[in-house]
This record gives sequence, structure tokens and C-alpha cells, in this order.
Amino acid sequence: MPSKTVAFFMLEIVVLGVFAIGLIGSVAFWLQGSAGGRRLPFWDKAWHVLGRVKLIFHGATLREFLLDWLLQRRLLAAGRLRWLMHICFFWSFIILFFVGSVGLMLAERGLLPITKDDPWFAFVNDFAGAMALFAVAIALYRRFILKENVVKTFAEDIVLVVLLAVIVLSGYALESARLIAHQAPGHVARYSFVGYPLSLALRGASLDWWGAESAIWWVHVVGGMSFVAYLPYSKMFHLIATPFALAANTVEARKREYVTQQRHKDTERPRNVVLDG
Amino acid sequence: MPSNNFTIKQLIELDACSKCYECVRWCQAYEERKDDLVAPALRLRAFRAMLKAERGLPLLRRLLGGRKPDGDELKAMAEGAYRCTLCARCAAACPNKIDLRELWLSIRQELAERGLHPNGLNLARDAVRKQRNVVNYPNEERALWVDYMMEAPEDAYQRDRAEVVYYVGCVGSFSPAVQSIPEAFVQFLTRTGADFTILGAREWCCGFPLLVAGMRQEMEVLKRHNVEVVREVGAKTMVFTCPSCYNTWLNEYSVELPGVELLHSTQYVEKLLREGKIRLGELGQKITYHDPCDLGRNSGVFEPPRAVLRSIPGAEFVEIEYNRARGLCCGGGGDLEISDPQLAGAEASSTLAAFEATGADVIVTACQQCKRSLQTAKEKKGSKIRVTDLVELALQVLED
Repeated sequence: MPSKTVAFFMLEIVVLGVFAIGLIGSVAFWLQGSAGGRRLPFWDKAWHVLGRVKLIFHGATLREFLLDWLLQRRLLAAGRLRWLMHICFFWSFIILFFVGSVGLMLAERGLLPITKDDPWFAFVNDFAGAMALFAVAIALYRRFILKENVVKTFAEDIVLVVLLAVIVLSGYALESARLIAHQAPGHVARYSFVGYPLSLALRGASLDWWGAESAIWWVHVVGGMSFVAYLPYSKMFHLIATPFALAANTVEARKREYVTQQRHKDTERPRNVVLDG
Repeated sequence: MPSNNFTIKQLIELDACSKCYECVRWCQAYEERKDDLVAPALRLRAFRAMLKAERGLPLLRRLLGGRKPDGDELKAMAEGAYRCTLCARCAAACPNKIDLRELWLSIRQELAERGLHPNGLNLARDAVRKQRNVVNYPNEERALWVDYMMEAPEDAYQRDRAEVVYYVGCVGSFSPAVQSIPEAFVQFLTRTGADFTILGAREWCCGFPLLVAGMRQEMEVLKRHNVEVVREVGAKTMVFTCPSCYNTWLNEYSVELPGVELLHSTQYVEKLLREGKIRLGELGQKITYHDPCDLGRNSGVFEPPRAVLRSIPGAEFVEIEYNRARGLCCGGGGDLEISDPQLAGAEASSTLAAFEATGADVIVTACQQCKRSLQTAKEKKGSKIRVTDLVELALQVLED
């Protein structure tokens, strides 16, 4: 097995381990809460949570949850610019993680029929990268120029923006180096609508492009892996926690509505029946 | 063993905060104070770190949550937690739908159990324990306001059995500045032919001030008593002019009283109007409406008061820029008047100024506490705008 593959595999194990520890720690923290005000043994709590989760799979409740989660309607109400920023972050993260990273890893293990030169794959990854950069630009503009809403900038905010910038910029650089090193023809490369023009601009430089591709690949991988490892310990953990909170509160709101309706029905009943019942 | 004050959902919500600071943008207490520990997102961050340092897997506590706050830090965090009216504008604005008001209540419960609540709240607790009202007056004087009315009936509106119970609440009963509200409402009920009663000394505090102080356990005895009294009267309907009492009965008591309809006075007036049982006369004034937090955002009653106001002939109804779920707070909620009266006054002044900008002659509200806060701010400023409760206005324009 080539040493690069071994090193990547080991890094992957470490990162997934760090991620899993953070995730397990947070789930253990969550399950220290009461189940609707009751103290229950661990497994009963887990059962209680599962019982609640299934309530989301119900027509209007599910629709409301999905619209709030995937389209982030409530953020749109807060302002178009911040919605645009967040929706670009959100979807670029989803695409780059599930298509660009996990998809490619599965393809390299022969589990998916994808290559980096597939037009859709090249286009989607470049597009998601552009979305992420656009989002970073809006975030910086809002934080440092508009100074909108921002109360405090913590170290983790800077770390996350730097990590995202490293991942996306190294991704484009990697794509350019690959296109140059592999001398990809224009009709194949053009779907990388950022990477390809960049490769045309850089192609004149007298560099060992195979070596450069390998070096940039490590920068990209270490950046990406750092992000994944840091996720459960940073505010980005809301990516995992928010859908649960949104689902729980959507279900609760529906339940309140239902109880109010039932109460209204009760009061319509004849008085003696109500009092005796 | 960690306390039982947080549900699983709430602990997830602590992790669901993305620190977008949208809540801070809407927080009037932060707007006035610019104090980090008042800012909802930062408050949440501090308590999350505290709880993570105390709970969860021991090996991971430090890694996930940081260190436990020391005594001074905890005291500062507690001060921040009680510098809040629990108006829930933050919750209405949260893009992640985090139920922040419930979280603030749980955090206060946790703080009170650790003895970190403001001392003034102990006085309120002791008053309720001893006198069964939050103002520490003898509870026998609860209906004393009736004695000052010009045409009060001999029974002072206190009947053994009635279709409707009007639950007056501590502030309406004991605060002379707003006793005009229960006075107006009993007259309204009488003129509209309602078979109603007030409970007088049988009425005990609903427990809302203790609930928001973080002393939920103190409510049980009050709840048992109040429910029993309403059962004895055999009422089909309960009406409240206090939104906080209404909210408490709705959320904490209603399970004990199946079949009893709980209505805020605005809903009651609107119902009579909708059913054609009353008619309202002319009012040649420009009026606006202030959404009380515990009635609007926290109980979901936005439209009935507006329907009443819009139906007044000759009145020009104008909305303030921030209304309904984004409505401004008068500063009078969440026991803030006990823990930080200056801040409560500052919030009331800003809210009053925003209402003055509408050009209205009258601010109509539906809460004795809102009326009192805005009235005080108005007097302090020397403003000409009139502050009134919807039931007072309804009585004023009620046609026979």
C-alpha cells in the first residue's frame, strides 16, 4: 500500500475518533436532561427520544420542519443578506462534504461510479466552493464592515473562517494543479469553471505540478479533516444539533395547537358532562 | 446528581445555538445595558459552558465545556439571567426556533436552587407564602377596590356560584394605579349581563411571579387552592385581565380544569362582539395597540384585541412598526422591577417613545403591568399620550 494512502488512512482514523468522542460526549450530555420533567433510566430516556422523533414524520409537521431546516425560512425573515450567507454556507457544506469528500472517497474505493472529470462532479464541486467563498465574503463584510448584530468575535469564529477559506482555496488550487499535471484537455476541464481558468493562468509557471498537486492535496485534506475533527467542539456543532431542536419544537408547537383545539371542543360539551367527566 | 431542571430538548437547544446574534438584535435589555451577560446568545453560551463542565461524561467535561465558573463569575451570570423581562422577543427571532423563554425559566430555576437569585425575590416568595399575594398585603383586602366604586352591589361582586369567574390577579387587586382596570371590567360584565363573580379573599396568587423567579415548586399549594375554588363556584368560563395570570392558568392549571374555558378579557370582549351581543360606539381618536408579552408572544393572542379596536366606529387604528411577535416590551415582566427597576424603567421609556412616534392619541394595552409601566414612563416624561386598557376603552364606548 502506498505510504500516502497509509498516512491518509491513519489521519482519517484519528479524525473520526476525535469527532466520535465529541459527538458521544455531547449526546451523553443531552441525555442527562429530563424526559418531559421526569427522571428516567438511560435506556428509557433513549426510548422517549425515539418516541418523540417519530412524531415529526407527519404531513404538515414534516413539511414545516423541512422548510425551516433546508430552506431556513426563519432566517429569511431576519434579513436577506444573512439568509443568503447562511444558505450558501449550509448547502456548500452539505455538497462539499457529501459529494466532494465522502462521494469521492467511496468512488476511490470503487463503491461509486464517479471520476473527478465527470462534468457534473466538476461543476457541482466548483459551484459549492464558490458558494462557500461567497458566504465567507458576506460573513466578513457583515462582521467587520457593517458590524451588524455582532456582539463579540471569539477565537473560534476566526479559526472557522480561516479553516473554511483554506479548504475552499486549496480545493481550487488542487483542481488547477491536477488539471495541469494531468494535461486535461479543455473540453474535459471546462466544467471546473473556477479550477480550469486558474489552471490556464498558472500553467506557464515552471513548477513540478505532480509534486505541487500532492502538496496541495495534503493542505486540502488536513484543512478538511481539521474542520471535521473540530466540529463537535465548536459552534459548528449546531449543524448536528439544530435539526433535532427544530424538529422537537415543531412537534411541540403542533401539539400545543392540537391541545388548544381539543380544549375548545371540550368547552362545547354540556356542562354536567364536563364536570362529571 | 445533576438537577432535573433541563429537559433533553433544552440541552440539545444549548448546542443548537449558532451564535448568529439575531436574538441580541431584538433584546431590549441588551439595547439599554450593552452588557454581555444580558445578551441572550452570550448568556446561553456562558450557561452552556457551565452545564457542560458539570454534566456529561467526566473525561470529556473539560474538553467540551471548559471550566466551571468561579463564585464571582456565577454571580455575574445570575445577575444577567435576572436582568430580563422574559418577553421572549429573542425566542420569536431565533432562526433555529430555540425556545429561549423556557430555557431562561429553567436557568432561573437552577440558579434559585443554588441560592443565586436576587434577594428581593425572597421577599416576594415569603409574601406569597404568608399572605397568598405577591404584594404582602392581607389577602382579605383583595377586593377592597370594590369598596371605592361608585355603584358597587352589596355582594361586592362575590357570589357563591356563577357561570363566569373573573380572576383579578395580585397587581390589579392591590395596585391603586391600575385598579381602574378591574373596576371597568366588572362594570362591563354587569352591563353585558354576565353571570359572574370575583373570588375576593378566596383568590390566591396564581404563582406566576414565583414561576419566573425560578421557584416553580412554590406553585403547587396555590394551584391546588385556586382550582378547588373555581370548582366550588362551578364556573364554565374564567376571564383574566392579567395576561400573566392567563398564561399561567393556560399552561399550568388548565389540565386540572377540563371543560372550563379560559379567556383573556380581550378574547371575551371580542367574542361578545363577534356574536353580536354588544355594540361599540364612536371614538374620534387615533389609537394604537401594545401587545403584552404574556398575551401575544407567550400565549398567541394577537388578533382579538385588534378586532375589537378596529370595530370602534370613528377610531383610526394604527400599528406600531414592531408589533405582534416582534412587539416591544414595557419592561414590567419577568420580575425585572424587583431585580433591576432602573432597567425596567429604561425599557418602558424606549417603548413609550416608539409608541409616541406613531402619532396616536391613545396607547391601548391589555395588561395592568404594561399600563402601569407605560403610565409611569409617560408621567416621568410629561407625554400627552393616553395609556389605557382595552376593557376600559370598551366600557367607555359600550352602547346600551
